[in-house]
Amino acid sequence: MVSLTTSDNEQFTVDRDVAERSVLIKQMLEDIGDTEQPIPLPNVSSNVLKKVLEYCSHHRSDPPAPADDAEESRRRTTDISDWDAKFIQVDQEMLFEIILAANYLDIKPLLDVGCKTVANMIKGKTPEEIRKLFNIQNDFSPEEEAQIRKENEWAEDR
Amino acid sequence: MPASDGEDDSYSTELDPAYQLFNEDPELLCFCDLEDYDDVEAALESRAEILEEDIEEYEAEAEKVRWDLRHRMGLYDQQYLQNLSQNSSRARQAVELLRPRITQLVSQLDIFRKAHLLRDKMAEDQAAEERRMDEIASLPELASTPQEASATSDLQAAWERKDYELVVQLASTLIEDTSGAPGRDDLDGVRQLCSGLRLRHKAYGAMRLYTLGYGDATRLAELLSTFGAEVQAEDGLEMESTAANQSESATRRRSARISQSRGQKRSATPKANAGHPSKRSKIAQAGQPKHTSKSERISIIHFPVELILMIANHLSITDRLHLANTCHDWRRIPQLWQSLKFKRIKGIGREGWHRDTVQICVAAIEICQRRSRGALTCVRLKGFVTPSNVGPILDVLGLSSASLQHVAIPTLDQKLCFDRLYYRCPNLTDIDVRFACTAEATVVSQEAHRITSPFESDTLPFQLRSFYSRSDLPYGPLTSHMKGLRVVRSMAYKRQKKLSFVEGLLRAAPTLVEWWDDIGSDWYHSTVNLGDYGIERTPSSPLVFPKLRRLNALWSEIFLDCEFPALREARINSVRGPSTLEPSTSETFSRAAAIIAASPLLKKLEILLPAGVAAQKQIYVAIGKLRHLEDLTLTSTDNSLSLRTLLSAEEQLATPKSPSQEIMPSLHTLRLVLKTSGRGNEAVVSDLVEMLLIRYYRREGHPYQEAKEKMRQARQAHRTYQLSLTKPPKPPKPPAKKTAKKKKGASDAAEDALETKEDVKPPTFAPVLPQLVLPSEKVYDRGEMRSWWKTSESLLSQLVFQVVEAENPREYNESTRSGSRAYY
Repeated sequence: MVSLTTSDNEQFTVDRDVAERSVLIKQMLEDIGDTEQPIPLPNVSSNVLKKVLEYCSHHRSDPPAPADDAEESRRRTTDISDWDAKFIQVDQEMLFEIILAANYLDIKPLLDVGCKTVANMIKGKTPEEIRKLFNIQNDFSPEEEAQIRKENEWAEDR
Repeated sequence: MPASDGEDDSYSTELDPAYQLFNEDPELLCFCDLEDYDDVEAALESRAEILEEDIEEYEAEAEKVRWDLRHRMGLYDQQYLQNLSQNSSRARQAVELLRPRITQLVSQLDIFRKAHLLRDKMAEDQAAEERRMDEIASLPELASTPQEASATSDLQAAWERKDYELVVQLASTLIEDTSGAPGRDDLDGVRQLCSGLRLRHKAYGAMRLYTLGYGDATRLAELLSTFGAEVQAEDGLEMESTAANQSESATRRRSARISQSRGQKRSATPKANAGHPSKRSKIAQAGQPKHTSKSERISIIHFPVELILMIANHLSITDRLHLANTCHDWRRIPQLWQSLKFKRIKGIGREGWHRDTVQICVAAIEICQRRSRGALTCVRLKGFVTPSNVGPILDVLGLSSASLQHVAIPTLDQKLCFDRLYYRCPNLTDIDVRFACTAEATVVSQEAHRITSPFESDTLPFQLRSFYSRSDLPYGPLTSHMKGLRVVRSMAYKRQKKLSFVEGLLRAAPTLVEWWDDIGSDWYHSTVNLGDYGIERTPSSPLVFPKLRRLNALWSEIFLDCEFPALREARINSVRGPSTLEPSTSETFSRAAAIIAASPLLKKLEILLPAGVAAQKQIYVAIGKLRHLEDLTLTSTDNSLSLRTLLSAEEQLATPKSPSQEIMPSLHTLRLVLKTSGRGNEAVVSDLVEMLLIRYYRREGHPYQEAKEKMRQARQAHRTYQLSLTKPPKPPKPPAKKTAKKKKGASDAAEDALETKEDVKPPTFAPVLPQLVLPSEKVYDRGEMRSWWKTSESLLSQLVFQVVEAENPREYNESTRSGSRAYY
């Protein structure tokens, strides 16, 4: 068993194979050997770690994906398994937190699911719609926007 | 700069004659450096003037002698006349000597002037190059490498500006430059290396790229444990202890401490080991609470570039461009501009793009070249460009020849493209020769000389990985370049029938990932036999395609011995396959069934079924064994589609020992593409209901025969219920009798003559098929589809979670037939 401590000082105890879905934790455990001391994860809060561990637990026995598969899978945005799709149905902030945590903990399959989900949200949307979706402020001047529209007319799917 | 610098200097040879003249004339040696052009020119002109004056003087003297001889013959004595004659001769000799010298000097001056002009041109070129380099250097992403002496100050300045990407870039350069310092025991170098590692780690932390920073922390810890305090904290780059980065610094320290244990083992100095805590105490220290500030709501706008690029990797080129144009920060990410898709679909005829469209295309390419910082990798132009108009496009793409990987130039003259562009692209891997002008293709297909190929050379200067073509036009001898191919789309059938094709296929087999032929009208009718390849039988050992994942190929339906262990998606025309007999047996052998049997991992299959029941059964038996099949499309060109043979195949496969074993257990979507209307369609739905009912009961754990019996009873019950709906209601029965009948259950309903709707309880089922796609009603003229669908509606609506009508069956058929139409 491995103990993990979150940024808000909550402690989680999980099986080693679950924790080792994170390459970061795996490498740390290889470095320090068996220990009962909790491993601090100062960049992950308890509610996010709970979700991440739910994912790791479900995929604890997944074999590592071959390189070819990974490459192809990366490009197929809709290729998310049913369980993963349901798992990632969270509010936007939690989705971003999961992506950042997966990046920090180095859990590539989870990072991939998160990025695919965001990509699916973006697909088919105009820049204005993307701004609205993610609450991004439009920092272009009207002149710049007109220039962008003119400049990129050729790229629109018509 | 001396003009003759370097052997490759194109100007140096042109300057040689000038230098030779200087070397031959000792008096001019002092001016051998062309930098003193003005002095040399002045000296030469001065010498020419002197010579001119000498000539004038002697000629004047000679003239004087001649005048004296004519007019004063009687006034002078013989001696004077002789003197005059001698002076005249001397003058003539001097002039004769000086004339060639003057000519030579003028020639020297002329050569020298040319040399000077060349030198000016060189200077201009050099200045232009320097200006370009300055321009590149001024770009933030390509900022010039700082000198080591000022590296740390630049780093610190970048850190103070919070320009973390620049910090990473500068630190990476510094780390690279000083990476050899530990081996040389160069303490100054190690200090700089530590500074670089520390700053890059901090920058990664600030960008939330913690995993990248972890490696730096590890390396830094090793260096510190090896070199100790001599190199520690002398760089003046200590981190600010702000609340915001406390947690990140804690991560860094923790990671560093953990890694120090490894560093200590390799440490040679006792000092390095001093003061390091034990593993347990390290963990305890690292475990102190660190709080990440949650006051700021997390937004995608705060994502590091690395994550934005990961998301962008899953987007199409158009969506990627939309993402880039969302805000200033993302617009400045060069990687989002590395791919370009240019579309012009209006008004494309045989004349192709008009000149203004070509100009807009060139401008678009230039924009992407500029925004991607000269790293344009993918250019996909869609439409049609005539060979006479394609020149400017090839010229501008030539500027990106070093980075281009995928090129789609929709023009017929692919040899021109090869000569002017492809040949100069060492990293090119994908070539797309499709174009959107069917009228032109039709004409060209009849004029073979107009079709030019990019593969006419014996060897290619790049490794071809993907080739996208048109099935209606052969594009040259590709087969000799098929080694290493991964993706082939729409290779012309004629090409696949060439004698050398098998040889090319054998070379490509180990790497092929996808082979997808275009589906046009030819798809249904094209035939091929082994004789087309110049062989009677395929090689004795099976042809193995270990990586092939998508397959729709004319050749696959011919070669008998192929294995596809990784195949996930296939489209098979079983009608086109050989009507051959398996040599070892007398039975008709279905090639389609053999492909399916050799592809155990198939997830998606579309198959055009043959007419014969025996052939269909072989195919259904093979399909029934596919444990991973999720999507099945059954197509026929006539009304021969029958699921009855599928039912009998299931019965053949059913084993009493494994009652829950069912065919296609992962099936998610079933598509039925029926080409004609008629009574046969009603039978198809009836068989489908039967199949799904058996599946339902088998999932409840019943053996096949038991499930089949229950299916019969349920259908009978359903029919009885349907009949009861049509009968008029009768007076209610006495309560006692009614209760007794209800206890018998739904499965026995068929055995009892139920007389009213209220008495009949139709059996209910849970869905066993997530999705059924049926042809649209529009495709049928007389509405038979609707009628047989309604007959079974109540049962199917229970057994199928979702029944979908194909939105437009004609469109569906067209899109599945023609990859090129879908492409454009």
